[in-house]
Amino acid sequence: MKKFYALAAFVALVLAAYAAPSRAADNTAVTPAPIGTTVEDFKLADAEGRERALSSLKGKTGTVLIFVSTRCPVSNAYNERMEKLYEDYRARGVAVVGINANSTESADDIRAHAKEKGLSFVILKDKENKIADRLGAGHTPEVFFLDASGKLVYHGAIDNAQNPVMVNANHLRNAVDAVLAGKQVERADVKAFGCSIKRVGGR
Amino acid sequence: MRLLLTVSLAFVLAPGLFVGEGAAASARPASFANAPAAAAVDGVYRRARRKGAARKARVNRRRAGSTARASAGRFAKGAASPKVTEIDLEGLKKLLRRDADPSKAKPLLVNFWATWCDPCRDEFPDLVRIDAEYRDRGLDFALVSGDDISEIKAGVPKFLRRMKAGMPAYLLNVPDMEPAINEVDAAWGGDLPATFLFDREGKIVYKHFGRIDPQEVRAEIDKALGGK
Repeated sequence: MKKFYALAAFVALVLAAYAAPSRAADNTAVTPAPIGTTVEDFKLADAEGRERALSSLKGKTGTVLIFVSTRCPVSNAYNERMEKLYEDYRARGVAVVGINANSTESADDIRAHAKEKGLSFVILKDKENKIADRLGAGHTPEVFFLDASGKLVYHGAIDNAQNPVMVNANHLRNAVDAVLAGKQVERADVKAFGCSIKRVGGR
Repeated sequence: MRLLLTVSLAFVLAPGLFVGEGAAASARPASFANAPAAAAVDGVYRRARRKGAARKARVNRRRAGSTARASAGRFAKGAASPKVTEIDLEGLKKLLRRDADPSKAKPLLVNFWATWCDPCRDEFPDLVRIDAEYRDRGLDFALVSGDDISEIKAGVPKFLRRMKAGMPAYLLNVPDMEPAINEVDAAWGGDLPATFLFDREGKIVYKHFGRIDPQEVRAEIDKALGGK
């Protein structure tokens, strides 16, 4: 009888091993929050070390959260465009907030970089990747645009080309304009290449 | 009892019988791979591999002959720059679905990278080593650069040459990245580097976003090669 149980256990093990869902080995995928998700308030320190709440930074008509990097050439290719976006839409109640979640970049780096590149919008330091994890941000630059109620209405790329002269689709501006006009965002999720966020512990 | 033994033996000896629907759904469409343009990409791929193999042989000879020169980390002076082939979305599709006949197809490792990407550059020596180890053991390896097209004869081949990379190299030139990213894997957000291992049927069996763990990749390649 003992032999039977031992054999049955072995068979069960073999069955369990083979019946497991056959999916690609993947322990690094980050899934962005789905469009329509309401982003709850959060607090992070800015580059000066002051704690800031999303509720105190958000715009009356919408808030553009952009995961940025001081070192990523793609993120840096967008410095001027991000600053211009901030300036163009500030008066219309749209806030632009940068979030740096790279464990390899300090608050000092962010401050020095913003000064050197002329970035005047607030950049928060997501030290433990809590907000990057909550939103499912995987790379820089990566946009999460929230409407006035804090609902995610656009996610992804700023536009379709790193080289500003090649741009012919302003995905983020189209989304912001749609929200300002009270319309539905046509293309709410647009992917593009970017630098992966260097998370704490090399995740 | 006898039934249990038979079932367990069948699982051990013929796991393919128990593959779920997902595998069939994501299998390579044969009609697409039969297209003449696919043969052209295939040709480029094979030529690139032959060139790569010749280059690797040269590197090995040089390594054997002169440690000092090999440690300089460069190919011999005057050697041709690695060829980087421009591909669009159709080219990418053809690259990922190389052979209509799964019995002839090999597992394919594809690394998406760019010269501007730090972790991509950091992991390159590991990729070159993996290619050298598995090239003759039945693994196809392709590099797909996300660099700007202006780098196709400049920064990209220069970097590949410095890395002694002999894998077939492509540069993805598309007006909109999204369809290309989704063509590879809908779950991929576009972060680089990204490494995908396709089995002989064209199904993704391993993927990694960010810098690879070479031992983990080797283990997955071994599994894919052992499954024939």
